Amino acid sequence: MAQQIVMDHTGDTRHEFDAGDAAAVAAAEARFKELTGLGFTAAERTGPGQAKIVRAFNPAAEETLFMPRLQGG
Amino acid sequence: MLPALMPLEPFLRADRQSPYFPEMPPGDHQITVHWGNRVVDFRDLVVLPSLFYGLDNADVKAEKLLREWLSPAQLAQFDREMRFDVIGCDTGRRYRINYGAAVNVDQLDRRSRVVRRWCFSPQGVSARGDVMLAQKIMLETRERWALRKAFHYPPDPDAPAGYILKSFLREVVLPAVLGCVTGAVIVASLVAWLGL
Repeated sequence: MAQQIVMDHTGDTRHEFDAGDAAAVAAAEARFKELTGLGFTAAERTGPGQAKIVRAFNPAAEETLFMPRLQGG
Repeated sequence: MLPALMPLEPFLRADRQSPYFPEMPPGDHQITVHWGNRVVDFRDLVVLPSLFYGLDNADVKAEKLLREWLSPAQLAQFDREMRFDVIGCDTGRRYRINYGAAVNVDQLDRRSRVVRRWCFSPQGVSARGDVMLAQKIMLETRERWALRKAFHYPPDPDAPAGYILKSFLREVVLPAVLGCVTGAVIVASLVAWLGL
């Protein structure tokens, strides 16, 4: 099952979806667009300790992490 | 059924200087606990039992997520030292991400000395594991962009004057001098070319 992990005040919220289910994939894509539209940065895990920033929804991605906008502090 | 716990060798000592809060004056109220081969902030002890007992709070979830996304070498270092190193994707510089959520990123030179401290985090997120994970990913994939948003601080809090002077020379005076020299060379070339 593919996962979309959203960082939030609770730590993180995970949304799983079946890449073979068209409705679930559509919902995941809508979530991707909504979060990136709000300024979240999406990162896909590509290997142990490796990630890449993604700007387009990839239904084949096993794990996608959404991080809120960065701020200096 | 309780999972097996690490051998517990706790003893409390008032640390003269915490490795995780070097800006705090020595002998301050910082208390550290030795738990097996880990040294942790006393206030963080609540996180460790939670990991074993599966209690659900933001810090516990965040640390679990962080561990899943670290490389094997980073995870081993994190287990030993509660911090891990990353390499900046644009400059190749080494950064040390210390356990924490603020002013916790050290920029290291080739001799592993701290040359600058950075502070940046995702908005609305305070769980330390989440902040550290975001810092790791951004430095490894969009280093320059992340550091443009970050605040930076001197490595030695007792020597801000020297740091400010060096930063002024490096970031204001040097570019200005180079700009003037370049402009002078261009003007001289134009004059010579036009035969004036």
